This record gives sequence, C-alpha cells and structure tokens, in this order.
Amino acid sequence: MNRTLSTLLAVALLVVVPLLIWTFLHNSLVGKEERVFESWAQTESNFQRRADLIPALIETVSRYLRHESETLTAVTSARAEANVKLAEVMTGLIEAQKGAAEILREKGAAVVEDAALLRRLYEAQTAVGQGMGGLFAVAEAYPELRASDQFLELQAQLEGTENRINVARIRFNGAVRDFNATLRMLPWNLVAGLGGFQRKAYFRSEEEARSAPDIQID
Amino acid sequence: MRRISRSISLPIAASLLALAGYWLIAPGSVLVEDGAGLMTEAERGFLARYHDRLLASHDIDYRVVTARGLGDINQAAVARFEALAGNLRSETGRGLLLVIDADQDLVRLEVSYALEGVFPDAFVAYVERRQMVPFFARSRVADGILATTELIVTRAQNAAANAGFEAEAWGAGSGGAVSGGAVSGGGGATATARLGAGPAPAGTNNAGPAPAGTNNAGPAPAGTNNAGPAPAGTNNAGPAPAGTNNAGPVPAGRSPGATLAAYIAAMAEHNADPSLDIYTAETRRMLSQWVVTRAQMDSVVKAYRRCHPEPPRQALGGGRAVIRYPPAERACAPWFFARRGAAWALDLTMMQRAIRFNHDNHWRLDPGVEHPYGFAFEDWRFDQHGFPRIPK
Repeated sequence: MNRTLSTLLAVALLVVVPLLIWTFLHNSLVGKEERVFESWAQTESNFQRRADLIPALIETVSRYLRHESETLTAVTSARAEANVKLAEVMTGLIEAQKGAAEILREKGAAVVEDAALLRRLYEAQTAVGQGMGGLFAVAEAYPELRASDQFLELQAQLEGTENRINVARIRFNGAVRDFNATLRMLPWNLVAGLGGFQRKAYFRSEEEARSAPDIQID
Repeated sequence: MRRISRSISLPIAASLLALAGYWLIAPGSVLVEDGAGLMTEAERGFLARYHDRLLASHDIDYRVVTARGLGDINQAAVARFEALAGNLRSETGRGLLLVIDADQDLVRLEVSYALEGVFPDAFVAYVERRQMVPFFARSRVADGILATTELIVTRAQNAAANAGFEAEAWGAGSGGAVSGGAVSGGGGATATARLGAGPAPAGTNNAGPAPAGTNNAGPAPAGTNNAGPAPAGTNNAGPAPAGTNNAGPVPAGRSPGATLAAYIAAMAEHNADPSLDIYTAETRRMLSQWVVTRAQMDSVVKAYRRCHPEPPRQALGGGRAVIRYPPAERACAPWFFARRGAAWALDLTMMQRAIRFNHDNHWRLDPGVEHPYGFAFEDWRFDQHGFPRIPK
C-alpha cells in the first residue's frame, strides 16, 4: 500500500508539478504578450483617431481658402505665395496619411512582430505628425483662420491625439521591453520555444534604437 | 496589568498617529501642491476645499500641481497621474490634474480615461485659453483655476444629465472614452500660461468686462472680500483687459427686458467696453477693474438661452426693477435694473454684492447683504443660506 502511494506521489512530483510550473510560465508569457497587443491596439486606435480628424482639418482650411479667394478682390503676391505653400503642405499631409494607412492595412496586428515594417510605419506616422505641424505653422500667416473656433477645436484635438500617440507609444515600448526580456530569461525561454512565442519589435526611430539602453538586452 | 495595557496601547497609539501622519502627507492626499509658490496659503486652502466639494458632488478628483522645470509637461502630467492612480479618491476613476510649470510658462490639464468623454481635448483647450490664461496673465492663478473649475462643473452637470455641449459656452463636441481606469492616456490640452504677462494685445485676448449672471471667477479664495462663494462676476484686479470687440454704442433700453436683451447681445459680440450705456455709473466703474474672459461672455449667452424670464417686477417708486426666473431654474440668477431717465440700466454692482453662487452654479441671495431689490422677492421663501425654495 505504502509503496503504491509512494509511486503515485513520485509520478505526481515528476509529471504534475512540472506541468503546473510549465502552465504558470506559459500563462505569464501569454499575459505579457497580451499586454503588448493591447498597448498596440491603443496606439493604433490613436492613429485612427488622428486619421479621422485630418480630413476635417483639410476641409476647414480649404473652405477658408475658398472663402478668402471669393472675398479678397486683389490677392497680393506674398499672399498668393503663402496660399501655394499652404496647398503644398496640405497635399503632403494627405499623402503622408495615405502612406501610413497603407502600412497598417498591410499586416494588421501582426505588425508588432515585424521590426522592419514597424520602423517603416514609425517613419510614415512621423511624417504625418510633421505634416500636421507644418500645416499649423503655415496657418500662422492666416490670423482669421487661426482664430476660428472650428480650427482651434481641430487643432486642440489633433494636438491631444499626438500626445496620446506618444503616451501609447511609450507604453507599447515598455510592454515590448518587458515581454522580450522575459522571453530571454530562464526558464521562460524554454517555454517560449515550445509555445511558439516570438520577440516583438519596438515602435521607435533608428536614432532612438541606437541610443536606447535596452538594445543590449535584445 | 495596567503596565501591560499601557505597553500595548502606546505602540497602538503611535501606529495610529504615524498612519494619520502618513495619510496627511501621502501624495494622494494633497489636492493642491504649489511647488512654484504661485498661490497664497489661503488660496491653496480654498482651492482644496472647493475641489473637495467637487469630489463629493461629482466624484471628480481634481488635483493641482505647480512646479518649475518639469521638462516635457505632457509626459510629466502622465507620469504624475500614474503615480496618483492608486491614491485617486474618485470611486469611478474620474480624475483631473492641472499642472503649471512656472519656468516654462506652460499649463496642462490632464484628463483621466474615465473623463475623456466628458471633457474632450477641444473643451480643455477652450477653458485653458479663454478662461484660465487671462487670469494667469494678471497673476491671479487661484482665480483662474476657480473660474475654470466652474466651467468644468457645468460640463460635468450637463454630462450627467446627458445634455450636449450646445448649451454651454464651449459649443462644439466630440471625443469619447477610450477605456476605463484612473490612469490618463494623454487626454487634455496644453497651453501657454502667460503667467503675469498682463493683458494680451488687442485682438488676441479673450477678455473684456465681466458679464453678469455667471459666477465668473468661481468662489472667491479666502482672504478676498467674499467669505463664501463669490457673486456674479466677482472681484477686482487690474485695468480692463484689451482685446475682444468694442463694437460701438449699446444704448440702454426703454424697458428692463430691452436692456437685458441689449446686454446679452453685447456679450454675444464679445463687446468688451465697460462704459456701455446699458450699465449704471457705478457698474461702469466696477467693470473697468474686472478681469473678464471671452469664455465668461460665451457662458452668459448660452446659459440664459435656457432661462424663462418672468415679467419684470418694478418697485413702488418705479426707480428699480428686477427680472427673475422661476426658482426651479437654479442657475438663472435674477437681474437688477435702475431707472435713468426714460431708460433702464443694469445694476451689476448690486448684483455682485447680493447674489452668490455655490459650486453647482446655483444662485442665492446673501442674507447678510442689504439691497434695495428685496421687493421683487417678497412672494418667495428662502432657506437660511438664501437659496430660493422651490414651491411643491
């Protein structure tokens, strides 16, 4: 009787306990990976929020330019030059937004495992941000436009969205750092190999990647 | 036995004292942290009490931090919110954090996830630029914060009542909650604080004479004239700011209603002229000393659209009149008028003295202030604080 019980206990120790440990390690990796996906979803939703606001901004500026051309009897050469500049900035912004949207469509959530694609997306989204900044800078020459409630409102929302993107990006990179570091640690790395977990890519510029201390960990 | 009980009770008492001390100095318990020294102690205390009431009535934990050299104020605000998350006193994760960096001359109001649908970025930017900053430019930091809190209260009330933005000074509206939780995701807005910069040049400012009928600067900080919540307009400070429109003469009406309509129209045009004909002489003198923002003028116009005036009530001698609203319309304060020849002029001076507002923007007549307009309220009953009783 005692021998049977001892055998059973030995089997339990040899099979069940390692299984429990493996389950715990696997689940903790799943939890960290989910945090990566969740924070990426947050980042993406902020991209979408910005993408939804940009057409409204373009429309507001275009409407103002139409109104100005209808009401101004004589357009000075300086003004005409500014109008051309504004139109160029708007076109650039629209193009940048299109490029960024295409990259996102390309791979969806799987983008977080593709470092090259994420780098391209980072550059595309940065171009959108810069395009917006350029538009607001050129708009400085149009006090009436800048004073309009609609423009101010859109500007506030877009600036807010930029900040949200930045916050979400920092949190995403933090989640990636946590996940990747865990992936390399013993005994998680053993479980990760069997569970098919893959390293995630950071969402940052090349300069940031070069200067970031965590590049050593990866 | 006694020694044993003493030896037990002493450590317990010490622990309780330590716990109380920790609670008092813990970061989560400090509502106003004025590291940059922009406010007086009385102002800080008043703000903390006012924000305590905001928490009690709307479950919004509103913190204020002033500091110097914060670096990226947007990131600093998020980090601060993260640190506060465990100590947030709101049960529903409704938090606001106002950060002022005196060195960088920047102000940021950070909004928690749970409040993003109530306070979209455009609203926050509006209240910062058009309500808070004009006060900051006069070095009236506490007043600027209180004045803004008032618009925040109105927005929170309307959100609770599922009312849209159209009834408020800020008339747009979009945005939505991203997810639950007390931590911010970067929602809010940042603006140049213009601390002590003085009135902005004409055309760029948002200020003008104080519109009556709103509790403009919020309850006055302790140490100013008003011990309780402040009356319409509120107090003092500097010459009337430049900016906004001074769009020509606005003649007083031949009836109180006509004068009131002219006043509301002037506010709608952001007419900043304190010497308009629609004001009594004393009112003109008073207005020339006030800080008023464009947001306040917008607020008057929008707020009174929803009010249903009763016919004007005139004093027996015929020299004074009052336009009042049904007591159930608690945010619609009455208007006082003085006759001047054939015309009626707005007596904002007396309104400023006699009418006060609570943190929910409900008006009351200060029982301690004598004024010649009591005749218009003889048929109403008031509670001990001066709030009109609503007939059943």
